[in-house]
Amino acid sequence: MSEISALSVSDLKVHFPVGGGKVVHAVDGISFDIPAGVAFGLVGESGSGKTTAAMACARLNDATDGTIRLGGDDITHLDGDQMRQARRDIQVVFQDPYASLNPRERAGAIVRRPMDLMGIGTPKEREDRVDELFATVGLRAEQKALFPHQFSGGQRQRIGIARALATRPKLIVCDEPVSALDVAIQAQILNLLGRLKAELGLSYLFISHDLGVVQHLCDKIAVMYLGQIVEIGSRSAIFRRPMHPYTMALISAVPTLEAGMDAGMRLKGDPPSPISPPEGCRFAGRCQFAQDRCRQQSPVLSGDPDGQRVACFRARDPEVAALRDKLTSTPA
Amino acid sequence: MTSSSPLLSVRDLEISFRTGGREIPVVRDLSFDLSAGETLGIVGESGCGKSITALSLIGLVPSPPGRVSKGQILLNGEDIVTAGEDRLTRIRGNEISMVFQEPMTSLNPVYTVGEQIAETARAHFGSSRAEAWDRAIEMLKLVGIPSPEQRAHNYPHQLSGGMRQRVMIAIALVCEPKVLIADEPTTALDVTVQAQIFDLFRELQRKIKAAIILITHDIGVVAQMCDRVMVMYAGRKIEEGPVRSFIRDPRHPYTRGLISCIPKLSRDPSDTPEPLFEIPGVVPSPADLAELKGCAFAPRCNRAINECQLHSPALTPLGSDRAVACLRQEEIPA
Amino acid sequence: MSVTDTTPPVAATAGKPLPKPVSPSRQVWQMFRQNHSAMIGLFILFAIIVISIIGPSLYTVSPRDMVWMPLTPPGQSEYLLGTDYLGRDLLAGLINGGRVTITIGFSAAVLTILIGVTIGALAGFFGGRIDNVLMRVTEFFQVLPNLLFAMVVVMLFSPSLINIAIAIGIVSWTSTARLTRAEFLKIREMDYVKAERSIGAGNARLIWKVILPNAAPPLIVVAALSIGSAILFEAGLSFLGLSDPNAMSWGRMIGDNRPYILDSSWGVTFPGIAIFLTVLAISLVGDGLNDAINPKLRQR
Repeated sequence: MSEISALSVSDLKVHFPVGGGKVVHAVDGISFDIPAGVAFGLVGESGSGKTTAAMACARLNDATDGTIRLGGDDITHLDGDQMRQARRDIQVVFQDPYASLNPRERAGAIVRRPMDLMGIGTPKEREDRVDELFATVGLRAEQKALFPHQFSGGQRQRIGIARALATRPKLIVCDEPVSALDVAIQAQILNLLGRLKAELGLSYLFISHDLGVVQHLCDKIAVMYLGQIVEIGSRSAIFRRPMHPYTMALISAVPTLEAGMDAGMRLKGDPPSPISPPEGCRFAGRCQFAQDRCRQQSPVLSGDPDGQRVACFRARDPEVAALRDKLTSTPA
Repeated sequence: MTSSSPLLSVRDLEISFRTGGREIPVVRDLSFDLSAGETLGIVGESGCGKSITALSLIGLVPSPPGRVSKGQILLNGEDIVTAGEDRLTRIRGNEISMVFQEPMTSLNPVYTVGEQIAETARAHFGSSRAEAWDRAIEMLKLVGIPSPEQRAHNYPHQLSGGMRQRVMIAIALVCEPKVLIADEPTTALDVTVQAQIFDLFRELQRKIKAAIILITHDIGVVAQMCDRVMVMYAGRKIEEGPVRSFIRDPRHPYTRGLISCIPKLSRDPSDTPEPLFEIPGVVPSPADLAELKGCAFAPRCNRAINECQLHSPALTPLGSDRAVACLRQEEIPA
Repeated sequence: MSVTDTTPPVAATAGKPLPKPVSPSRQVWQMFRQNHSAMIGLFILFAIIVISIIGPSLYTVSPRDMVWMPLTPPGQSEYLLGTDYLGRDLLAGLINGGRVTITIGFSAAVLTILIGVTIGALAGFFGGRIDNVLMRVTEFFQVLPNLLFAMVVVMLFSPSLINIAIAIGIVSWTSTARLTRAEFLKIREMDYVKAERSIGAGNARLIWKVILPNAAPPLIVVAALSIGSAILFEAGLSFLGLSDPNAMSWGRMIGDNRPYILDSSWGVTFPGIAIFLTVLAISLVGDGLNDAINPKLRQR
């Protein structure tokens, strides 16, 4: 790791008190690196802590423990003006385009606001930049005067993306940016994000529950379960050779057009509560391969430090491998 | 797809909404049949009229401002559109049930789930409290809720999203309806839970032979669950057919677009993915549609010719079991 | 590093003329205008305010001077509405009293909103300990008997117009504070507030420039209605004899004429009608605002 990562997170923990002395372990010790120009996907089901982790990286939640480095600088404990300036380099695109734009501001003002707040450029330069951004995301400059309720969902998400681009950030945190949109509009936004990444050399921390979307956009993928990363690797590694039974179950559950990657794996029940996560492997309760060891000891991520790593005692056992083969081989 | 008379038959349905002094149709010229034991998928983007169509099937179009302004909905030959409220109450639950997208808001938070299922059973069968309670537990078992005797005493907020949706399905099925309408039943759920719910649907369909109408925006779900598919765009049916031919050989440019614009999961993903196919623009609003003469999809269609702007294409049969509403469907290569 | 290429997602809409910008406030006004009773209320209110402002210079009879026989019924002299127990012109009293009554109502409402919104905003935005302390203070004020407490305040200091307005303001802000807090609790979780944080907005901007304008609609309704209740409150205090001896208000006219109500019902009836009309007009406007604001909130 000679090159400086766009974002580097180590041992991040985010815990919330919920009253009665109980604590939600939303994110429980995750580490990852996002090299410059890479789209990094964080996938998992609801309650996995993926959004909480992303919001902590953007310093919109407080980290309980661990460090967050943005372009090599530790931003975990910055505040006030220092944090405001650091935000130039890390911006956020939110999930619900109907909720993420202030209904009382005009589209142009929304996109200009980051530059106003961070004191970037002269008023004239900011206004020109807004025009440029509108063109970049595929909106017309005349639409600057309109209010958010006058746009469709896809157009609103374009405004949200333009706002995130305004300060020329190096990294954009995308929190389920297409899940609230219709499929036809999803494709427009995904293509826009793909194009921006290529042309501006952006890095993404991309949160999604949709494996199809993540496979399409992300170069590197981490799978989260109950606050922890259970598997991490490149796009091709995760889909060609998923190692963790949970990753395999997730892939298997995606409804596909043709007889797809379905090994007939069905998870039973729901994830356990993050208030008192179980001892040992957190997935053991739903895992068809779980043994006594899995329920007693916690597996740690292991494997090639720069390649695919998995946190599972049984990932290399023949039973698991057999199911993996069934999942990844082309059906006759 | 049996040749006998269909269970549910919708004929020339038109649903209109009154806004700003004008009555604007949001569903037009809609006809389709549903046979016993069949699963029909209705696909389309938000605003295409699929959810309001579902509501009309159980006489729940919010009125005012909406109403069924034309056509018939025949359930075993009886017209639901003209049925009185008393009759509708009997039909709902007994013959047609509905499962909604958001299980939290559809359950009453102040009653236990057991009471809610039992109450439905009592209302429809007139059974005693004890019988109804037993029936509730039996239903919870049927939908795959572990330790149903204990779970029956839980309140909705004590259950997870997947469990709540199972409870909703139990309520919908307790009276053994002939038709189950599921409007985006798994959109709020995780994929692993979605897979469980769909397994449950398949199993229940085998057991009680219900016909299912599955409304969804997810074409993957349609491919996995449905026998037949109907695609709606801007209030009209634009394509219909068996699910295999719909996926392998979609005929309408909109259907093609819908299928090719979703990122598909591949076992061997490329490191440099091609951009997705894009359908440009957005769905026209019902108000815009009222002024449009031609095909509603023409402004977004990459195959549109002048003719398409002039008149709206009628739904034409294609083979024995398919139909498409596109002027150019014969010219477009497969 | 700018991107020059623009793919054509706009192509489909490029030919269409753009709609005019419609701000949320404008939408509210359009809804409001369609509401007949609210427009009638607005008209009555406008008329009362205009009469109160320019009336005294058109109708120059002094409300303090004894101009005719005491207790003259309406229509029996050149003084149209008759006279009170001291022989003062009732019409002059109504015209001049409106100014005082509306001023007190308005300033008490402003004070109510200022205190209520500040406390509610801070409690709702920061939550935790600050919320706890501020809400206990609010509860303390809420359980005090309003009228008694206001009377004590007015009697401790002198019954001047300012003191009366302050007394009314101090006892009426609690419900505004609760409403503001509830709105803040709701809105501070919205993604656009998070988005403002992510572009470096500080707390002051979030509270006053981002959340407050979005919380404003229901607060405006409450503000309008609290003018009405402040007017009624002032009338109540005057009725009990707690009014500024140097200023003629409708409430004071009622209070002064109360002992003679059996001999001259008109002395309390006319100022009573004036108060009724004003409060009714304010209520109609408030309800109209409420209706105009809510459909917008429902569709987000």
